Amino acid sequence: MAWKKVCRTNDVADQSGIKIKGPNPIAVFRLGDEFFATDDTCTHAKFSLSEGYIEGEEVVCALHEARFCLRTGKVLSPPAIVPLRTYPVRVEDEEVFVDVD
Amino acid sequence: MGAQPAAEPDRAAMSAKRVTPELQQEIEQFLYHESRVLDERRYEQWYELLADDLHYFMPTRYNRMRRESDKEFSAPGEAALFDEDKQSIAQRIRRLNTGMAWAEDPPSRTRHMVSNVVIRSRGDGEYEADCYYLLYRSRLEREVEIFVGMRHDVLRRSANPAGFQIARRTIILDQTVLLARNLSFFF
Amino acid sequence: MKTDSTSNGRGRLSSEMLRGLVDEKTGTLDPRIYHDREIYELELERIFTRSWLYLCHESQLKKAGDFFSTYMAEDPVLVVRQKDGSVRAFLNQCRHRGMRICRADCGNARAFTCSYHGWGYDIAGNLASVPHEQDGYRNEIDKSKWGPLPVPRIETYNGLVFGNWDKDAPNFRDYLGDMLWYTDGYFDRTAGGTEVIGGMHRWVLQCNWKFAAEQFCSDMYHADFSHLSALIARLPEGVDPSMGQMPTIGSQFSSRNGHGTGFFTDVNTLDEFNGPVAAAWYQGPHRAEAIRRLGEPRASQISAAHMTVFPTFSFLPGIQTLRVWHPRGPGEIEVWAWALADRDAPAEVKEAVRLGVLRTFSAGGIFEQDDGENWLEIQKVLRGHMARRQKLNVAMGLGHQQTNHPRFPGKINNVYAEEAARGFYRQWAQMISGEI
Repeated sequence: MAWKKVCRTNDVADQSGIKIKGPNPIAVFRLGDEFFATDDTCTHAKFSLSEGYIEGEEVVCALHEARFCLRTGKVLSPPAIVPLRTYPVRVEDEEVFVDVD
Repeated sequence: MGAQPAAEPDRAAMSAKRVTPELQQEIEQFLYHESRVLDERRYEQWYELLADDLHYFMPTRYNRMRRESDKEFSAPGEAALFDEDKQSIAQRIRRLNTGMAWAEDPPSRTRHMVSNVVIRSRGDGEYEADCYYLLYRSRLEREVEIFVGMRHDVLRRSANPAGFQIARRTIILDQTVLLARNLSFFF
Repeated sequence: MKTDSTSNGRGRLSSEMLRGLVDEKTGTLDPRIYHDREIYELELERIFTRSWLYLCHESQLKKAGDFFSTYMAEDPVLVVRQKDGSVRAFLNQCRHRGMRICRADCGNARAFTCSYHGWGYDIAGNLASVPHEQDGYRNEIDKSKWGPLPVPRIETYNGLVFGNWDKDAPNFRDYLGDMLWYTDGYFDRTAGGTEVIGGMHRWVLQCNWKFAAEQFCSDMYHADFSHLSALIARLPEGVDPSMGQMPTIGSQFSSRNGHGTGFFTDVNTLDEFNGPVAAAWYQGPHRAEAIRRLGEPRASQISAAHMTVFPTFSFLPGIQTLRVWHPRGPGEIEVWAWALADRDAPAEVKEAVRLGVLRTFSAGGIFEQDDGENWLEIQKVLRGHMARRQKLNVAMGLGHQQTNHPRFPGKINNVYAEEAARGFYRQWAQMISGEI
């Protein structure tokens, strides 16, 4: 377990995502009071998923419309075929922690 | 910007408001009569078919990605091809009658074809009449323009000889860039 | 009799021949400037890649990712609001195989993707992603080198966004030059600035772009005959039709850089153009502020004006229609037009401007309809060989210009003159012949 503080809750607007920079950038998404963390780079053709469109509990890549479940990382629409890696998230005192192991 | 200004009503709700074949025919005949009046350039007579509270509206239209398809049409308060009341229609007709409205002098030849007429009652002698239109216009030596789209009318029972007046007309045109030199006639 | 040489390559279009198509000294034009395909191709190359061209109004791009798909002459460009608030524009052409990157007219985008092979661009126009980069391109493509062509120069002037392909072009205010005094009077009247009413009018006219641009530059002359029907129709019922007369006293300005404007100064008959609600605003709070900012004569003595910034950006101050004439070959244009209103005007004033403009100056507008009729018929007549050999007349007021007008700076002539047309065509001839 490697919990890492990545941002504050109000850094992320509802129904959107932000990119946490790093060698392996992470995207943190917010749906209401719930937060999700995934790899930020689309598994299809390298684009930031935090730039994508949120539809329900899915993120749609803005480039090629690949679609992933935010909860599980499962591919819901091609052209992606490789699932998106997801990370456990926990919120404490308005701060968002991601288990990046 | 907005969605289709005249969406198709729910089928089930429609059947509850279905009009009789006689009324269907009566309204279709009215629409044909109106087309003929326009195509014969009897503008004063056409003017008499307009209700005093007329709203005559033709939005502009845009190519939008599907994600933003709810913004395909201009919304109220945005650029429209027509957004008229009875007074501004009167002004347009006054212009045509000056003999110096060069865009219509010599005049265009038009045919207003209407089809796919779907009618439902709004009560109190008002009816919504949707139709598809094909408007052919030929002008001067060899100019031809064809307009295709849908009209959404609200017609009102009237004591005039035609039986109805037009209270609302929303005109949907199936073009984004208008492929015409002007709109110097009526839909 | 000499004939037009038939497609003799560009050989026949020598600089000398091109410069001779316009004779501003005698006020004559060679009508081939409106008809000839090769001259048109030279216009694209020598005029439209070197002039400041109108892209859009800032108010169309409210937030990051808002884009507007427009043209610089025939070249499609995407204009996009960036995350840092700046505006960028780039050629709407994928560098891979030339496909149009974005086919929507406007909207908000997080990225743009070519629908052909999926090359993906960020909103700044950087090539961000290439499908099969690893297995297809073997990671050998340098994405930084294959973005769409950026418009190198973008400038915003009182909310109006202009672009120029020429990285060495003078800045926009210098390009306006002696026209700046007048355009400030039209576009910098209030601190709140302007906005365009949502949506726009776009339509096609089968005519050369210069008929439209020149008329808005220089031609008050046509108004009281071309538009007489509309002037009469707009009179209230029962009013003496002689009230439909246009005013007579005014001035026309011709810029050294080809721009032009003309305006009435005696009576404000067109002040009520967009109805009493708009008039109350423009004669009231709007004018009071304009007097403070600009003083006279610009605040209130210049009214009912027409103007063109060379080559294709036009505006009718007072009437408030703003437009660009996109050329589509020598014999066709697309008119793209908006209604311009003060951003801080009350909603009912904006509504009055919107209705006023769409009922007068749009495809269905009772004034605009008759302009197209004239331009289209000229274009058709110019199919005739003999018709193309007749010099056309732009000589009105020739020799009566002055540069010492007590109120108006620059080269001034009577409001009914073709001074600005001569300036417009001189600029055209100098650019197309390579003189400047």
